[in-house]
Parts: sequence; C-alpha cells; structure tokens
Amino acid sequence: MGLRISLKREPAPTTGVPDFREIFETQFSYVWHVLKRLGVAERDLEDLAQQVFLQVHGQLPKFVATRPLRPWLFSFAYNAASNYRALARHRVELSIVAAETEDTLPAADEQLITRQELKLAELALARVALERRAVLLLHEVEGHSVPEIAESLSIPLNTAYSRLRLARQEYEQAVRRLRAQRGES
Amino acid sequence: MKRIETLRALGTGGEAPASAKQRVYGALMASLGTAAAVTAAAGIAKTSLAPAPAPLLAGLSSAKALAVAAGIWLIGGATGAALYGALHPQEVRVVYVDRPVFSNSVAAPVTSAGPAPTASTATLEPVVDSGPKRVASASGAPASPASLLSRERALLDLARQSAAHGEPALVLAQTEQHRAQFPRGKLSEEREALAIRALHSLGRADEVRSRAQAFRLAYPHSLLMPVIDSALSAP
Repeated sequence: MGLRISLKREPAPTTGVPDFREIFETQFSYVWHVLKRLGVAERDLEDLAQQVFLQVHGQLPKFVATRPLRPWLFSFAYNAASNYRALARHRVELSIVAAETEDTLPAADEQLITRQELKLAELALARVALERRAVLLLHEVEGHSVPEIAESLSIPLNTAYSRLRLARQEYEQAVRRLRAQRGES
Repeated sequence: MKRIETLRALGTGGEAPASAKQRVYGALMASLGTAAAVTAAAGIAKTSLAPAPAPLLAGLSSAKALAVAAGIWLIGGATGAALYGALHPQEVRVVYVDRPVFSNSVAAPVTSAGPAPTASTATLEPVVDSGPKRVASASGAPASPASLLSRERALLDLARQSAAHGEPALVLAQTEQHRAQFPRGKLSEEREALAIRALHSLGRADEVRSRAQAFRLAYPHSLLMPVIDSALSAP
C-alpha cells in the first residue's frame, strides 16, 4: 500500500529540550564548585560530578523550560553530596575540605572585602549543616528566592525559611568562633 | 560590611580544572555509550535466543536449529506478503499532518522544556502572552498557581540577572513590570527587596526610605529585612 504524506505547515516545532552537551560545557564549573562547597573532597569531585551529569542526562527530558537551570542542577549535586556525606568514611574530613577551598575564592572586589574575609566565609560555610548550607548557598550566594529553593529541593516552603534562618545563625556563630580562634574581635 | 553579606561576595566559583572537565566528559560519554550498547545487546540477545520448536528441530545442533528456524520464519513472511499483495490492490492515501507552529517569543507552554532565559536574550517583552496560554484565558480558565509562579519567577530572574550585571535601572524597570503584572504576587517580597536595592544603587535615597518603610510595614517579619537595613544604612 502506497502512502504519500503532505505536510501543510513547516517547519516542525522544536522540542525545546536543552542540549546536554551545552549544559555540560557551561555548567560543569558551577556543579564542580557546588559539590566542593557541599563537602565533597577534592579527590572525589570527578566521580561525583560524573554521577551528577549522568542523572542530569537521564532527567533532561523532564526539565521544565520556565525553571531556572542552576537550582535544578543544584538539586542533583545536593543529593549526590548528601549520599556521599552519609558514608561514614567521608564525615571526618570537613576540615580538609574547607582547607581545599582556596581556589574557589574570587578576587576581593571593590567593596573592600579582603581575601582573608572570603576565606573565613568559606570556612564558616563549611561548618553549617549540609541541608541548611544548601539553602544558604542558593539564597545568599546565588540570590535565588526562598520559594524557588523550596521547589528545587522539594521541601515545604516553611521548611526552607526555617532552614535559612537556622543556617544564618550557624554561619554567624561559625564566623564568631573562627575569629575568636584567630584572636580577632 | 555585615558577615552574611560577605557570603554574597563569594560568587559561584571560578573555572573548574580543564583536565578534570575533559576526564569527566570522557567518562560520561563512555558510561552513556556503554549503557546504550548494553541495551542494544540485550535486544539482540532476546531476539536471537528465541526458542525453536523442539520436535521439529530435535537432534540438530543449536546453530543449525537457529538457521532452520530463521529460514522457516523468512519463507513464511515472504509467502504472506506475496499473498497479501496479490489479493489487495494498492491504494494511495493522502494524509494531512497539521503541526502547530510555535512562535519564537518567550511564551512556551509551561510543560515544555528549554533553557532558562538569559540576560543576553531576554527582553522586557511581557511574559504573559501568545499561544496556548492566550487560548486558556480566552476560554475563561484561570492560569494555574504553578504557572503564575513560574511567570513571576521568570520575570524576577531577569531582574536578578540585571542586578548581577550591575544594571540597577534595568532592575527597576523589570521589578516595576512585575509589580504591574503581579501586584499581589507570591514573590512580591523578593521584588520589593530587589527594587529597593536598585534604587539605592541609583542614589535615589528618598525613594529608598519610603519604599523601605512600606516594606517594613508590609513584611514586618521578612528575612530580607537585613538587606533593606543595609541599603538604608549604607552611605
């Protein structure tokens, strides 16, 4: 049986699914540093980054266009880091990870934040509990709104607000302790 | 500068080591390739290991049995096709496939996928427009809360990106657009905080004070209050 197909309108609509390779190219560094800030040791970063992008590849068709990309990627990194940290052999290495954060620091900017202060911020951040650190990173460092964060991490909105409040407290306490250790006011 | 504000200066980190990126990409492609190969191999194994009729092929080696089974299957298929062709005259059918045409503007359906808007491509064009959404509103069906929130968020994302690029005037225009479209939106609190910071960057001190007072009244327990306070206290 012959079959002739006539298309009334062209071109066909594009699916709009972001290109995986493009995401990898543009977002690899972001995922790398998120994993690092979520406590993944330097030697395990490549493995964890690979895990994250494998999951991203698998879930890409479900990505919703109107969602911002980075919080979505962050959720994969957060889950990978949570599982990683759940392993007992990784728990004791917090101080090592914090000490390895030197190369993530940006140059001190025009606001006169010294490199020492930035290092202190990274160290204090590493002392905030992981689930709260994730919210703190997304809100304070990346500037996402709390409702967005709640949606990305699949947590209730009130929980997100609560975690943010506690994270700020923990962070401030950690800064005070670190300064006291250094003999600063 | 307050301690919490130092966090904002951290940024999302610099470039990851290029060698690590290459290694991860290579490993990733190998994993994805292996997964595809395993799936294909499983499919092949499934078809090739289909059992042959036992009585007919009894006494033959497995290779010979498979060859005989494949021969029978092919001959049967060819005979069936020849009979069908002889008994049914060919007919020509014309099938019209009506494909919807999507515009290239911002308005994609909420369920479709695509890259998040970027500062370079995004404009102040309204997010509320076109296609399926317009049809929905014309029919009187209200937009779902999730889609409203997505539209709000898309607009504020632009404002945040403008803030990150040091363009307070643009931030102000975008937050005003948000206010016009979503006067009682779920992200109004975030919008006002962004607007106040933008006004502060533009040196419009009087407006900063009045908007900050209004913010304090509207959101007395806001977690964004320190941001407003720092804008007010900064020189």
